[in-house]
Amino acid sequence: MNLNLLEINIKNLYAGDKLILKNFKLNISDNKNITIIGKTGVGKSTLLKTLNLLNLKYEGYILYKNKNILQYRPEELRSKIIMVIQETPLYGDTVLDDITNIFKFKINHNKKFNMDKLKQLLKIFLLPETILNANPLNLSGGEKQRISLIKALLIEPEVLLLDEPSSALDKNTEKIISEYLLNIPIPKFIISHSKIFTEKAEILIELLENQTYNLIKK
Amino acid sequence: MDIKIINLLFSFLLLLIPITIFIKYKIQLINTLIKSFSQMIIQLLIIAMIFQYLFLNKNIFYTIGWLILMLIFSILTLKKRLNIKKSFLWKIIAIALFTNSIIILPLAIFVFINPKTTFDARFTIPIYGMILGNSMNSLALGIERFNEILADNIKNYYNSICFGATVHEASLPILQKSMRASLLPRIINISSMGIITLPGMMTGQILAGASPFIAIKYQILIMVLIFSSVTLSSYIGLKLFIYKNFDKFYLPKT
Repeated sequence: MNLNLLEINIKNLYAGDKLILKNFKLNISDNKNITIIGKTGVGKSTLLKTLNLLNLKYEGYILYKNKNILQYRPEELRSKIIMVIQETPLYGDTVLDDITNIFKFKINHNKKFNMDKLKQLLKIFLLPETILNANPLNLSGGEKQRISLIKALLIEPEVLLLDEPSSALDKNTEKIISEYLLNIPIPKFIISHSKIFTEKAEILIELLENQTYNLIKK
Repeated sequence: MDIKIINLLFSFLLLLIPITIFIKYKIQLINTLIKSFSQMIIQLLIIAMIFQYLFLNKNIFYTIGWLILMLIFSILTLKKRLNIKKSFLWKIIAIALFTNSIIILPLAIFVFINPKTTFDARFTIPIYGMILGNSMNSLALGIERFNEILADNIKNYYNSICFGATVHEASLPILQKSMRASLLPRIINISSMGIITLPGMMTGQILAGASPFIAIKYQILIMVLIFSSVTLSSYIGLKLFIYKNFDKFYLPKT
């Protein structure tokens, strides 16, 4: 029998009071890329938020490592299943402040901040090292997006939830970063309509407007 | 030196200045003005009678009873003043002001001032009034600011919890900002004391014939009491607000 890392069995999923998805079932046992597509307002972000306890309006259950996610301490689950929200704001006087700040959270104390790894990631994500001393307010949307992704990777998550991770990037940068993200050996849920993510995903989920969905395994 | 009643009544003629201006420029404040002044006179008269009674009787239970009334009145005032509609708000205000009161007031009366008659209403009531009034205002300001800053930075908040922050870690920057907002004006006010502002209590004491050196000693003590009370009650209030305002998944309650 295959041990499931993540077992999703949602009978009804709501966004506020609105029913958006019925009978959603998905088991993930290894590092798959799962890309979620669908029209605006169909509930893609809500589905993602349900996996890290940001949305609790659903009937059914979600098991992570065979334990209901509701039984984890929220900070424990969220430091394993890391979500990078859209247009994430950065905080602090410099970009480096913003990055090191997440290591101050108690749950991340056992994960040491690694400057070499940060520099390596900056290079991969096509950012200059000088950006670390920049004021977060002066960063472009694309730069902020990449810094947020780097932050998530520095925490070494077990699952990644990415909401439109390449929306603010130009074609060339998007290609390089998407390829890198797709090759990280952990399961990833990615909301994106960009070709790289839809084509290279092992599982493609299309959410439809009548509370149903198509699931394509490749 | 007492003021003669006839002189006090005579001073009301000064109010003809605002009334003339209101009439000339059709500023509709005359009714409100008359109502407010009448209300003030009646309220102060009642208070003077109560104080007279409390001061003469020196009954510890009456004094404590009056202190409790002051506390209840300040909780109700604050609840009405805050335009945040949350059912748990009055409990937070009550706990913060009450805890602050039972820590600071006994220290002030028994340790710092130490009057000959224990629990002398002449000291207890005015000092408690100053502690309570100031704590109330700063608590209101602190909670209001917290709510505003949280609303402005809600994405930051969510972003922090997405990276594993607890409710206290994610709301720490907001707590820092709102504490600063409610305390900074107070600190500035302390440094301007004496030159720019002559505080009401000191003015009163000097007018009543006390030596300026006694008056400033009381004033310094009062400023220490007020500032520590204001900080303590804002801190307790905000911590409780954070505790109550978010659910067990650290999400803001709607």
